[in-house]
Amino acid sequence: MIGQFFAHTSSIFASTSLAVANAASTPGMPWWVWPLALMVTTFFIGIVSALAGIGGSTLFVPIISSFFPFNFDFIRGTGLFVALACSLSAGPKLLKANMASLRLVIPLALLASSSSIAGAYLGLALPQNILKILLGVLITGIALVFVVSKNSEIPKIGRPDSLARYLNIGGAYYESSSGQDINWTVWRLPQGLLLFCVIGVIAGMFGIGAGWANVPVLNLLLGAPLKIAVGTSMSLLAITDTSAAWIYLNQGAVLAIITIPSVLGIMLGSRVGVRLLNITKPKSIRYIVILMLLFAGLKSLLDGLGWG
Amino acid sequence: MNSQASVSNGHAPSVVNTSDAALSSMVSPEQNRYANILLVCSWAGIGIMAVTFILYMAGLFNPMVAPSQMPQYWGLSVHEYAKLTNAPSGWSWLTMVSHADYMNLVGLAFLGLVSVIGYITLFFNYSMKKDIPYAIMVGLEIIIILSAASGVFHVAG
Repeated sequence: MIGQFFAHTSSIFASTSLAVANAASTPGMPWWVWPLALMVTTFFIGIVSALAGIGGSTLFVPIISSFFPFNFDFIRGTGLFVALACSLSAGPKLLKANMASLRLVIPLALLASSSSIAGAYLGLALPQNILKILLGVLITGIALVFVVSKNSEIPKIGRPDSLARYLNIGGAYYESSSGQDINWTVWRLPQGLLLFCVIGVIAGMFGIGAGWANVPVLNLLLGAPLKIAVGTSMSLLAITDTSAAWIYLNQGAVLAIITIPSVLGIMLGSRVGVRLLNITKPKSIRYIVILMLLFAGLKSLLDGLGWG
Repeated sequence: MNSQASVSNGHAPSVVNTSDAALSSMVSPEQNRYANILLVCSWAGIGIMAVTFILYMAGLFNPMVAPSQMPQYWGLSVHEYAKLTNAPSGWSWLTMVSHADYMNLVGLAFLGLVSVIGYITLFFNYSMKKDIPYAIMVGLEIIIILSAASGVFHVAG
């Protein structure tokens, strides 16, 4: 039954993409088809993203830039608002459940949001073909990270570094599977802060939320438990992406007809996706996301090289 | 209470993050307040966006660029689009907020300020608790987001 559901969802998504691609090459298409198609597509992206536990804009930017006739500037501006809306939608619940740590969010967000401004500046200044090539390489790389990375539920860590101790980063959360409170802390915070500067630049440059990078850094480098890493990453995006989103908004790179259906579609989709979490197999979702990322990454790369 | 186990890394003495009685899965009051602010404000922003978008799609409030004309422009770069449609940059759109297309930016701009609203309360919380490092970091973040929002970072067209 679950297999059938996935086959069905994948085929709807593929049909939608094909219909959109056909429509893109059809002159005289009614204007209202585009926001409608955008909302349907982002609805499915929202479902898949929620099931895969990644930010919607990681899929949004490469897929929309592959199939829709919008300029890459507007897609990246929208991508940041998509990431921001997803984060604002999920963040409060995670913070209230102590699945995200504000004491961990604040220092990381400070560096990531500052560097995301530089990233946004770069993104708006660089030629689009260069950006598409870089995005293609990045998205293909993310797909490979998904293939090789093995997150750890509760990582074993060494002595917390002096900065983490000074900032008193750590806490406890309730683990429902064991029915116990789990204490946690982090280590290697200075290295993590440096990596978050790089993540911020990438997020601002390409308009993609950086959950795909935040979670491995928080979990594998800093040693935060996986649930804390996912929750903290989701809460971080609300701040990291805000600075860059303002740069795009102030430049006029946010068009309501693209941004608002995308934000609404992805939020509705992610709510449906969260409800489907209990009946889905994480492995099959992972494969779908890897395939979608590989396809979108290669398409972006070929477009950038002028071979698309 | 379980602990996040730690192991020897061969360099530093190994440490176990013991079941510190001070730690609990209770959410700190400032984190709870911040989450409530995000929750209420983000839904308000989404509501504003949905309403203004319906008005725009319905062709009400005299949009500067009607939705039906957008396919001529949305394939252009942001610089070309601004040139052809006389689109404002920075906060100048506020002077055109009576037009449906710019009215839509109200909800989006509000979403962009939600974190700042939450951070302002955090700044006061941490200042009152004399948690100086966090008060400074939160203050700096507010300055960074407001600088980005103010339009002082300008990209040449």
